[in-house]
Amino acid sequence: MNVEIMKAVEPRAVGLHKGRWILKLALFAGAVLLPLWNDGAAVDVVTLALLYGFLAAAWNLAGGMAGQISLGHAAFFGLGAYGVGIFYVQLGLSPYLGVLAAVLIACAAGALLGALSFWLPFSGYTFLLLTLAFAELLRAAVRTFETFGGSTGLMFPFHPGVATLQFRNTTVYYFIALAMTILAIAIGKKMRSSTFGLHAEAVRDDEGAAAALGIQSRRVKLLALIVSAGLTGLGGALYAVMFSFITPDQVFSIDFSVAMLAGALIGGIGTAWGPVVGGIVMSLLTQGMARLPLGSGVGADIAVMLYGLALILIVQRLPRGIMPNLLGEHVRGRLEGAALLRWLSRRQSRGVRAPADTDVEVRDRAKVKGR
Amino acid sequence: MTQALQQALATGVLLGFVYALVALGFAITFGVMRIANFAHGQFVVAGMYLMIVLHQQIGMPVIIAIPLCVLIVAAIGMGFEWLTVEPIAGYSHYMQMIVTLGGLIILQQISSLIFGTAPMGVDLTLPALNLRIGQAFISGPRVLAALVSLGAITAVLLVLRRTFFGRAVRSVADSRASAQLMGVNPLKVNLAAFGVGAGCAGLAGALIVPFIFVSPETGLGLTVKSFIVVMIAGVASMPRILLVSLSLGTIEALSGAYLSLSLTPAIVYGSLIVLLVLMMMRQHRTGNLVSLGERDIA
Repeated sequence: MNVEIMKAVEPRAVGLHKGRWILKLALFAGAVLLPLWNDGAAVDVVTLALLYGFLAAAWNLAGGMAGQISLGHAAFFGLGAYGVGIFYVQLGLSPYLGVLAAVLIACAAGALLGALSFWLPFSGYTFLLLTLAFAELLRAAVRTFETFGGSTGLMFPFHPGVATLQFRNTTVYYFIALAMTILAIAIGKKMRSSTFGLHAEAVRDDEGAAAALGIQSRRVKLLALIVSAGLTGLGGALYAVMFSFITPDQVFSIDFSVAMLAGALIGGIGTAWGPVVGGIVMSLLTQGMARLPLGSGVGADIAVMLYGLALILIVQRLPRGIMPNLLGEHVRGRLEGAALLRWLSRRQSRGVRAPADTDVEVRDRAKVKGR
Repeated sequence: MTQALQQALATGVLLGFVYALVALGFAITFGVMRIANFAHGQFVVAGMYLMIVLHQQIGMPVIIAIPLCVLIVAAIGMGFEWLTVEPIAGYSHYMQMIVTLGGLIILQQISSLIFGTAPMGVDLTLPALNLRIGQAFISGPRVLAALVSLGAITAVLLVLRRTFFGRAVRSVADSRASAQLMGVNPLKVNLAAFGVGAGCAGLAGALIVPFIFVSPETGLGLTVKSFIVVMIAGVASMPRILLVSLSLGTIEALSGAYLSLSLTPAIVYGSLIVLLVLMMMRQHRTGNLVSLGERDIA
């Protein structure tokens, strides 16, 4: 099927109900006005949450849209953080150059891993394992070499100013994170409606069939991974400047990889808004939990546990994620068979009719029957 | 051969047998259910902590504590399967794997809540088993760990080959649909596979805790190592799993002895990645592509 026809048949990416622009406008206004209401702790909490939302969206470009599930995005995140760290702290160059370098390094790492795993006859599991081992490898390597600050990490000297990207007023970071999150949503939406995004989804759903249609699946996967890695590196760079202190055990930790995966899954894997929503929700939840007065470290332990619990519950109960189920963002492509059937029968029994511009029920049911 | 080299080789090879036991447990779950159980390493950690509680804190003799560890961890494994993977049997393997990843995180935080994050160990000396090979001196617990691991591997393989239960497990690994048609209940086999897999892990944990410190984060590394070993060796051949595990133990010991201890994880992961890539390239050349689950276990 050629792409033009696919585009014509597919409904618009976001199937939220009419008036959704009002909701978006309200969200945006709320986000912009938040620092006016509270200029302190709340802004910092939301900044971090936005960063997690951004990261989940970045992960989703490769993991959700192109189906390349990675457990090693912490590698790109850490490379981004250390890119800025090395440029600014060790070499004394402008942090703007550092951010650029961070993104490029992360892209290069993504290209390397992608080239390795997509051009060799690796199964999906091998990609996952390769990314995971890569992150652990980098963590151990950075810990060892004193050039990178060793296991104690890198401390950014604090010289506030626009030239050093360090600010006394943390609201600046808030707006940077907000802009990055909006960028991530925009890229996600663009992915979902562009030819490239359709190719990626086709590769995810059935690589053989996609290849038979003339889609160069390796190139599509590689490009998706590079973009995803670059954005993750950008997130790592922001994290490094924001906290002015990075250690290998922190930035290369699998916790970040899991947080990205969990955010994307919870929000709705493969959607444009879902990962952002999921990442923000999970981050707010865990930050709140870590602040509960439960004794030393207990809150933090439970906060991490929440990620595990969320992963299990979301896969068991809502495999499509929050956005598709609650807010109706439509997911294309192959869904989990049993869950889809349940979902469909629930919808049918409630007598819900699809909006005129979607044909999701008809197509998806045909797909289930055909399988 | 210098004394240091002999020492490193001997400890590495002996540790390799324990790694092989862990990898065998992983391979059983992987072969039967086609899912990578990310919590596997955490089962090893559970065995280590249990040994600390049973032997160090309660004071049980080793000969009772170790089997008890195995049983408890096997039960934990089966409960784990029942709570996490069973409700979504039939979903894609990725989804099932993600659920075990969630389980890994929960188990990790539970151990962190109970035992804290500081590394812990068991003081155990077995003078009767102390061994001298050439110039290398091997402490008793290491010898015990290698011997018991070897025995356990043999026992598991015998059960898989000779008993009805073993045949049921292998039939599901071979072809789930055909096994079902022959009256094997795959859900029960899943449960059993998790039990045996976790039991292997728990035994390995109880055996290594006298000479390897445990902290809640130990589990993930062990999962990754056994995962890579199984990816390189395939689930179908125990000799290959053994070979790769022994190389893993040797590389680790040599790197610890001659390079730096902190660099060792990087060396280990690096060489495993290289091995994996070489393996995949060879498979690509020979056209013998998927080694995983082509034939039955062992």
